[in-house]
Amino acid sequence: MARYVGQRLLQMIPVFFGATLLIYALVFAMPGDPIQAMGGERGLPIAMANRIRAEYHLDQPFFVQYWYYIKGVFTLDLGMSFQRRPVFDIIAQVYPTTAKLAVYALAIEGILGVAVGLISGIRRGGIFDTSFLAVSLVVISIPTFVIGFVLQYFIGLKAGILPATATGGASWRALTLPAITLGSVSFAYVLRLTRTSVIETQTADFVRTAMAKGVTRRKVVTGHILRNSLIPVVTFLGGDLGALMGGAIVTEGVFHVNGIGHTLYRAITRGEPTTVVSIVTVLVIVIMIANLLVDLLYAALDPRIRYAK
Amino acid sequence: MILKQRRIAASAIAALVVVSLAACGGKGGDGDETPEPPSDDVTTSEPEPEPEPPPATSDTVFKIGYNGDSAHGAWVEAVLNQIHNNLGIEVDSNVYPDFKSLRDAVTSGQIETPFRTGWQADYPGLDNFLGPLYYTNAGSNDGKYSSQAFDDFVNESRAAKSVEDSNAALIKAQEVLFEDLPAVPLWYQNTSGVWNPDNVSDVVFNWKSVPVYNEVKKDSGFVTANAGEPQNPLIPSLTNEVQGGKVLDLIFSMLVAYDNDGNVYNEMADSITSDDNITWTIKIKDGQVFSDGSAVNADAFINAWDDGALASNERLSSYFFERIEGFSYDEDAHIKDTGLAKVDDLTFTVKLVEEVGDFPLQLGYSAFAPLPPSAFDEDGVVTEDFGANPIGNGPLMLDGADAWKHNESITMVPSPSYKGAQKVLNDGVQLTFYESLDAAYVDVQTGDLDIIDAIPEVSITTYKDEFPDSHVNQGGAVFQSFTIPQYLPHFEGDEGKLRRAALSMAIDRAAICDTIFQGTRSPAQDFTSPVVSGWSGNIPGNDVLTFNPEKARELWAQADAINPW
Repeated sequence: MARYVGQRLLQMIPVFFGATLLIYALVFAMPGDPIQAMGGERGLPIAMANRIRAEYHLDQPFFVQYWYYIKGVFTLDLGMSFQRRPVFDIIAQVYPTTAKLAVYALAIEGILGVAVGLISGIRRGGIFDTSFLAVSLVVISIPTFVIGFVLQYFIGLKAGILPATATGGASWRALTLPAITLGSVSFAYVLRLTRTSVIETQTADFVRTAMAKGVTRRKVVTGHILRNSLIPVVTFLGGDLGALMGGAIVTEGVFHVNGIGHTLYRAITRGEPTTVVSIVTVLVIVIMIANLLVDLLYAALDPRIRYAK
Repeated sequence: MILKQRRIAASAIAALVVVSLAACGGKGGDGDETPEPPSDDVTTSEPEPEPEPPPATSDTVFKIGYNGDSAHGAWVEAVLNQIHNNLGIEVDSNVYPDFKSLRDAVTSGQIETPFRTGWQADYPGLDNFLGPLYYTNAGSNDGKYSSQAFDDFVNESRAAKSVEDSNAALIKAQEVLFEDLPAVPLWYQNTSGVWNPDNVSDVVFNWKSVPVYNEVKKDSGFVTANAGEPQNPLIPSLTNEVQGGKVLDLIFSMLVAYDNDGNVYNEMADSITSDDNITWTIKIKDGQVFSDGSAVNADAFINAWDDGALASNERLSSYFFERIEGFSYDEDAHIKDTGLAKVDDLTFTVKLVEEVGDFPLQLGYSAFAPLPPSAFDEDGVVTEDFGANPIGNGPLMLDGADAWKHNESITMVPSPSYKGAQKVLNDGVQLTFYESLDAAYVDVQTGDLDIIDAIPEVSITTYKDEFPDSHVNQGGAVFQSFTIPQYLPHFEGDEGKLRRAALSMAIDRAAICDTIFQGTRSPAQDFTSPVVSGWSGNIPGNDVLTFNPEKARELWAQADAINPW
């Protein structure tokens, strides 16, 4: 087990270099001159623009710039934003909010998705099943931000049940609508995955055996059917954590959540390489860790899976 | 990318609204048209059916460049369609992915098409719209325009002894511009905004299109309004963008200030005088202090301006000091050793390199703010720590050490030591930073925010109904045009003048302002802005801005006679 985890952690190193290099190259290739844009319609005097460019190493060749960045990462100095704040501080400030939002969304889609999917699967063809299949189809076909605007308008603005934006601070209450928005599409997928998986598992031999042994229905459902149906769902949820972080860019905009999405968007529009790459690097690391945790969870769900040889 | 998605969302919702109106048997009134990206129908606002466009006789395509990351696509398409329909030439847009890349192409002189230009004044003077954009070799003269006649009138204005004479010369200068049309004026951007009438009253917008926050009345608590995270530390000479400027204008008081109509009055200055418009003597009112108790005196100005002008300090607004003697962009030169001289504790002189008639008018821009001794390090350079928590001499001051919550908000309270002319009629101001105007608009509707100083695109058709007595939509200090660079083929000499005039007359500005912008723009009547003192809407030659398709075709044909398109 420890060996497996160690192997996986070592694998993260090339992934880290590959990802940062790729992102750095993409930001490097972005059109336009971010330094000139600092001067607005008026532009900056050439001499001043050149000095600022040198300060951020933007006058250097690509690999030299990348080298400065990597050197900074290993000395825990992610550089300065154009606003002359340490990028490290910026990330530390906004990351907890997005993490909170993502966990909230993950909880909503995970718990509701599995619960509804389980009931749907067991009562296949019933009214409950049919209506939630229809709901999930609708949710999947509407883009996330439209769901966001609709929820914001009807629940936040017209009914006033929940805060329409997170302007007053990112409390759990204020994050409810954003989390529902963010988790809505994945909720539909989790529902459908669980449902299909439950239907398959129901016909498995071990379920029939358990029934024949006289195990209570409740125990069959939770101990046998659900547990064995969860593997594809857990895989999906693990991968989804990354998608949630990315989806947060749009959702945070709609609901004015001051998180990583906001910051990343602003950094992209200003063309700040260090901020963009740093934020995305943190995202990459989070996704890698999430995937590792998912793989480790398999063993807990299905003891037949073993890692060590 | 996100902006685009959101705009699709916006039009999707607008479409839903229209569909539901239709379903109810209701018919949308004039204001109910959706701000959809325009198709050819924009030009059909003419009463008569459109005459068939003359057949295109040439492969030359007329293009306008713009940045696609902002909402310019709709009006560029509309302008191009009108040019196509009225002049019968092929048109196309030249889209740059974002503002950076458009500016890059423009400033490097590599852009080979006309391009959109927007200009927001730094101070409410005619010269601020004309000098930087059209004077020979001026910093923002991106079209490389050069006219001896125009330069002469500007020089005359700068040397004039009275404001009237100065403005009269700039009107003459604009007559030259109407003749040459280095840029085709389009419209002025209106000041627009809404506020929540249950929370606040007495909301007035100033000439800069920014609410006069300190005069808003609220029963208790901070007045809250939308803003954006300042892009730079809050050092006055380092701030050249609107969001940081909103804060600086409240926590600093300059030598002069502008009233809500853009008229100038002395704030920290007792008098600003000159015999020759070159050497200016500035006397400061006695007894003015910063909120930390230190005095606002000649040194406070001299040291602050010296820091702002020093090349190695990289102050983005250093161009404000460029005409002070000794200034250099290329090497470190202290203007306090050359152009600035202290006379006594409250008096100093400024020596300029040329006549600048409206110099006192410029001094209200925040780059000219004084700074207290605590702002400087031992080398006399303003520190970034000061920029994180600035101490000013304005009507408001930052509310403690953590008043600026980065990316969230900034909070300011009345400054007890302020003795200037501006009033503070509330308990303080909190500017909340939004990336999305839509979210801010929703917050004003729910009452979580008091004021928003712009209308999101989605709500342009509805804000008058949603805020019937608490909205504003009036002329503002942003001038929009498209510049036709002098070096483009077909746009030089007599042929160029004819073609420029023809293009200008082929555009129905009023229709675009009504249809695309839903009345949030006003058709241009000159090259400046109606909020600036000395503005005139009757400059001889400005009939070239009147929609006149027949005349346009005639002029275009005359140009073709000189050199076929």
